[in-house]
Amino acid sequence: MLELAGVNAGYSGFQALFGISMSVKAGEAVAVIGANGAGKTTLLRVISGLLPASDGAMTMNGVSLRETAPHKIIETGIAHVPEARRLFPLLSVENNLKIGAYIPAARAKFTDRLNFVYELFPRLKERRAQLAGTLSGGEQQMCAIGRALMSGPKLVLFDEPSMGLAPVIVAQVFELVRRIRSEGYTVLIVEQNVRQVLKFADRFYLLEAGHIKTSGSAEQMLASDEIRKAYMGL
Amino acid sequence: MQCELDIFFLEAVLNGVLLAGLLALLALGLNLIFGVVDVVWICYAELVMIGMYGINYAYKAGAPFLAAALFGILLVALAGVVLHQLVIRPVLDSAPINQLLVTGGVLFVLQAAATVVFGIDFKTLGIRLGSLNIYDMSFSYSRIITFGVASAAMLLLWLFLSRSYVGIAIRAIAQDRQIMPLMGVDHRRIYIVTSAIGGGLAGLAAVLMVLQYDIYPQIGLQFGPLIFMICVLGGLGSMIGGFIAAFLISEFIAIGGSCFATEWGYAIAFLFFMIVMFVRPQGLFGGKA
Repeated sequence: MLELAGVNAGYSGFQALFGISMSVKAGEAVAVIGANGAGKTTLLRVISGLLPASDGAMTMNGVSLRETAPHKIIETGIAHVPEARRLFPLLSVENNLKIGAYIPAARAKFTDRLNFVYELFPRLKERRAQLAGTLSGGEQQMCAIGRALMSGPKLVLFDEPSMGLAPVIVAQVFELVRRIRSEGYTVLIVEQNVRQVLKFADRFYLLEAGHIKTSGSAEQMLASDEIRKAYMGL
Repeated sequence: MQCELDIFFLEAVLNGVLLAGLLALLALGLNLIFGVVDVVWICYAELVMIGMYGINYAYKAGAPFLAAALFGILLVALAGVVLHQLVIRPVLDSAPINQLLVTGGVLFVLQAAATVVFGIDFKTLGIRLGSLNIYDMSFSYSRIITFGVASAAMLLLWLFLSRSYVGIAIRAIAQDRQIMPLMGVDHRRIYIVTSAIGGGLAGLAAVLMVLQYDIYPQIGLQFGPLIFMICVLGGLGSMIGGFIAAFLISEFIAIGGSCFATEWGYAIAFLFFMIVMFVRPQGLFGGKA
């Protein structure tokens, strides 16, 4: 579904990603783990077009993402739940969901998808008229996920969904991600909370200082002493 | 020269409300553009001036008033888009002071061009609508119409901004510019739509103003500073703040003018503005300082 080959990217005067090659197949849940500053967020920003890649190839179901305008990438079926949720705080919950259905193909299915999101997260329905900025952290994460689903994506990118949330809420948020996955969406998640991600991801990539250090299945990752020591404190 | 709570005071208060409609409309346009594009159109009042001339010539060429009015609105909407594409876009990433200077430059270019092309004499459409007299109070119909049309336009704009996809995108972009591509929103397109709406509102203001005021190249200086003051007082970018500030300032002008003299009305309004700036530099409803 998603293929990256030799992708380089960075900010002015600073390269953040070096020759990233990876793939996500339809139906998979893939996690990219790594320390703070390893380039995890940058990787998702490059895939969804917020940051242009300087080299390499990226395709989504055969469509070259580097040749697609940033605001058109969502039309290839990629939705991005950004770091820190980034809801529109002064718009109502429902209008946040509505802006998620901005693309022409999604507008026609707005009502169906809104009902689907409300079924998935009944809490959002209760709070539909409330300003998104007044939601609790967990509710904001539901709203951010709901907003991403409104475009009718095939692949959902999650950028550290647990960040900045209380430990009790973190478990709930990963439960949400698991449910998204079980609804048939393909998931690519970047996360520092390796313990939680291990519970549902099929495959892993370990990112270190902008390079993919290693990759493999959950079992392979658990078997690696290096990872257990560095990321799980075991 | 004295202030009593008599019928003339009430007349002044009501005339203040009528004036506020027009000022609120203009403040709304300016705030909308600032909120979305993050640039202040210093030359906003000059766009109104261009619209007034456009309506003037269309009307005198034989067009019915409503057709001339529509022409004026479309003309200024187009001028807004041209202004954005030619002048604002190249400086979008420049320092705010450069953006101000560039649109300030447009102000003088438009004024000078209008002087050369249209001449310095005062022009008028010659439409006289008369006044509504209740008890001892008098309200010109042109002001009443202005208030009604401006209110209706603001209501329509509010519906657009709260119901339509593009309207919601306009409000969203003012809250978080960077993530708009993730929503599939092309910010360049939203900027153009917003510039056209902002221009269209200035065009509508021009339609209403030709019913009340003579047209001359410097007319923008009459009310341009007032609109900026209103926007800053309400909190730049806050549409509700601008709306409320328009009513406050209009009442200062109308009541001050009725109790003392018109000039005093403006002086009191600006004095109030300065005091608020000392106490609340971000404006009455501004979020950030």
